[in-house]
Amino acid sequence: MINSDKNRIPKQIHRFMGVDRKDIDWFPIIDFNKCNNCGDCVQFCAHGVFNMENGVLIVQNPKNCVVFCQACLKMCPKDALIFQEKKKVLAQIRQIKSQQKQSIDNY
Amino acid sequence: MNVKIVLIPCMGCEKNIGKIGTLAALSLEKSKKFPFLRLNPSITQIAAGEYTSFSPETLIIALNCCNVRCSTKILNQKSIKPHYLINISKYLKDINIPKGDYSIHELLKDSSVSIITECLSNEIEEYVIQFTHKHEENSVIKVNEPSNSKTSFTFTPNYSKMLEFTFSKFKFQVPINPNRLFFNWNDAWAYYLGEGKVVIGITDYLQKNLSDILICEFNEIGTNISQFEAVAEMESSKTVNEVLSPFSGKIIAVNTKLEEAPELINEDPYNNGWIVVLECNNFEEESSELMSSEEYFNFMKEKIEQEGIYQ
Repeated sequence: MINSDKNRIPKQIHRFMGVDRKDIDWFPIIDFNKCNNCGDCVQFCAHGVFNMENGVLIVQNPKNCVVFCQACLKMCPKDALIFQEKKKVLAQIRQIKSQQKQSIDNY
Repeated sequence: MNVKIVLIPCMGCEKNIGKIGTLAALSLEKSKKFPFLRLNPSITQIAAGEYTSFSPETLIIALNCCNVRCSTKILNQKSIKPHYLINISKYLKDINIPKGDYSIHELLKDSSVSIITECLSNEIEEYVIQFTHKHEENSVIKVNEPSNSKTSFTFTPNYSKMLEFTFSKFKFQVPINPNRLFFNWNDAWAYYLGEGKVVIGITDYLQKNLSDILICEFNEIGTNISQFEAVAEMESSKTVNEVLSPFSGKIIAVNTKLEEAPELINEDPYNNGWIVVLECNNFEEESSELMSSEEYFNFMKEKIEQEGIYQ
């Protein structure tokens, strides 16, 4: 199965650093003061994070975004995408991991 | 040798930096400092055949003004491989680019144009010298191999065997070394050399997904990197990708061979295609957060089986 269909939304099942991807706050936020809805990011991102809705860009599948990947930010002609600081997200992941460990230990 | 230069600017009008880059290229042509043959990206589309028939003394340079990399993409559409890629966005740390909507005429008066022109001129001049030397070296019989202190580090990893996974026509490999090899979730590997030092590279899966790598730019030696920060950035014929570091630490060596031959990453990602050497800040703790060869292999296998291959 070669995934070249842009309309197909890939299912992201994996974990990141042992933490469920759903619990990690890593995804782009659109700066609408800069975005001109060119749709380049929709074409660019292979993980189906972005989509257009009535001519306006939306982050349709935020948790499909690859943790710590900022490739869309690099190619955005208007620099209109914003990500959280990596160190904050890493701290969040480590905190979830330690909570998981604690609950296993308590069990 | 009589070098001729084909400089392909992006002619971008989307951003001020695109306009400024184009103005800088035109101003460089006007100065007649370099023997420019062509300066028009549309020629690549109309008369692509011309580019393949240039003499070996013709140097093709793609001038990208931002990370959209229009120029590389324009050339790539016609399978023209540039000798050298320039991305002037790297000069912007020290230069103030006007913000807001300005026409190309208004920007012509801006001081940034002359600064960028000078940076561009210096970079091209330096590369023309390298290009000339390379040609001269190739044309004479070498008596002694020149020694290069930058590439004194030789990477000789010890892999016990390769794990291999085939999915449709896609095949990827993961080498095994239980005590030394670590992987992160962003398809970078780290090979432990001892004394807190690791060699970093990208996996076979990532190099295959990127397709032909055209340029690999490293962070400078001495730069301190946080875990999951970029140690290098790669441009391929398909996309731009960062190499996210499995460890935090200081860059102590870079694989300068990749400047001349970035395709080594495609050909040999786990050996000659190594990217940087890092002196780790916290090897013990951070290595416990990473995957072993088998864990990475199983993780990728499951991921590919569930998601397919992105192409």
